[in-house]
Amino acid sequence: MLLNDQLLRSVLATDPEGILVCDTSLDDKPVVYANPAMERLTGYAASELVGRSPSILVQQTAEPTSGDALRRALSVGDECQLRLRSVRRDGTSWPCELKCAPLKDAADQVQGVVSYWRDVTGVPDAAQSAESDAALATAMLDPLTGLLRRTYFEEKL
Amino acid sequence: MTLDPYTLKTMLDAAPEGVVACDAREKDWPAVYANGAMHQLTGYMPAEIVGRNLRFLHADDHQQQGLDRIRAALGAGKPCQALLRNYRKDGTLFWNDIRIVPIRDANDTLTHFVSFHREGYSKLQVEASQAEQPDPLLSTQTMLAYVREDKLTGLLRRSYFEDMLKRDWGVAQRESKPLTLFVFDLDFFPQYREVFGRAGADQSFRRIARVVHGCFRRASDLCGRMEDEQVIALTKGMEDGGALAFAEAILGRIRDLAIHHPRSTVSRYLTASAGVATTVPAHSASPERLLAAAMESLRLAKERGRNRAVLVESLK
Repeated sequence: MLLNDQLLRSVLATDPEGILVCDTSLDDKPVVYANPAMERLTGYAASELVGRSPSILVQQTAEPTSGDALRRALSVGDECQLRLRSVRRDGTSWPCELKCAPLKDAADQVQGVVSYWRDVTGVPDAAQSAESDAALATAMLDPLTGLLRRTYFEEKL
Repeated sequence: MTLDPYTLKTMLDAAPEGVVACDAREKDWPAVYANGAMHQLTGYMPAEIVGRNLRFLHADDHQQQGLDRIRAALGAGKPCQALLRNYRKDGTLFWNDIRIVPIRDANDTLTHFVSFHREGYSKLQVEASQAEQPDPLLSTQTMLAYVREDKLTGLLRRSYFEDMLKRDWGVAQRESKPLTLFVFDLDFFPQYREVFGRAGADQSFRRIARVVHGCFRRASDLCGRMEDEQVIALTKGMEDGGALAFAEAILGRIRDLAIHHPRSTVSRYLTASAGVATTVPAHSASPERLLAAAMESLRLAKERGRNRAVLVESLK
């Protein structure tokens, strides 16, 4: 491969998505790497994140499920994707889409988990599609066949 | 754990965004690395991307504002962001939201360009999706607009257009004023849809509908959507010669959009044919006759080689 250590680090440092690596061999899954995009997203400097548990990035009180989801994602070591609310250094929170993937060494042993963090403010969640408004039904149905109009059908799809 | 090069590379391989690194020291900046997400986005395997300049992704679609911006920024060694029309391995169009960052070594020599790719949405799509979000406080007026207007193009729906045509027919009959009906039909549009998919075809149709609509701006003009690929328009008080020239001018505007159409046999770009019919409504005639005459003109325009307008002189 034509990529050396230096170049790989430069690429990861310029990636616009937040990248966080956690060591799963230890109990509290401490952070071992955070890129500059992660610093921008969370407000923490990389040096502050490294060595601490990633649970400080998750809102604890309002939605306990977020913390559970993150813990599960970090412990299982499978690829997964989830949405949660993350909390910044200044206490404000932001909606986040997280993708996790296991990091294996050359011997195929899981050493850690890499997670990619993306701010999804204003991006609708496909899982929570809005309920249809009954009053719109007349506009949504084709008068000839009584079926959904194509454009609405595709939206629902 | 330690972050050795093997681990670092895994971190890039698994990233959800497409990542490509190009060697800036080689002639023509060939890609030296592409990750798995790039395969999901473009359909090309990393091995098919490595060794090539990334321009192959936009095929022969060179007329793009974003390309000029990228060229200028890369020439100056600066980072940039652009939204480009790119084509997957299977030929389908997608919007590639690209960020490119130059990488320098310890001696401040430019060594690589790294690009991050994500499926983007054109401004038109973004505007449309914002406009289409259902408002919880839907008023009767917006309800009516939903019923009257075609959701994709904002033109009148066919059923509503025909109701309005009947009304205007009656008015023109009483006043002995000419009515002119235009039907615009895109040439080889089923083929276009095959190449670019439904979403791509819808978007191009929307642009064209907007152009046609823009040409019928008088309060008494009507503009509607007829079939999947047809726009219909009604105008009042126009002379025969003027109507044909007007239709030709609109066809010219559609051509000027320069929407690339690889499978059209009449032009490199997406074109339309127009059928025009004009009449002073007689007492014995019905509006369906005018519509039928315009459709007949359209059929003639298609028969005579497309990309043209044909006018039926008077109603039989």
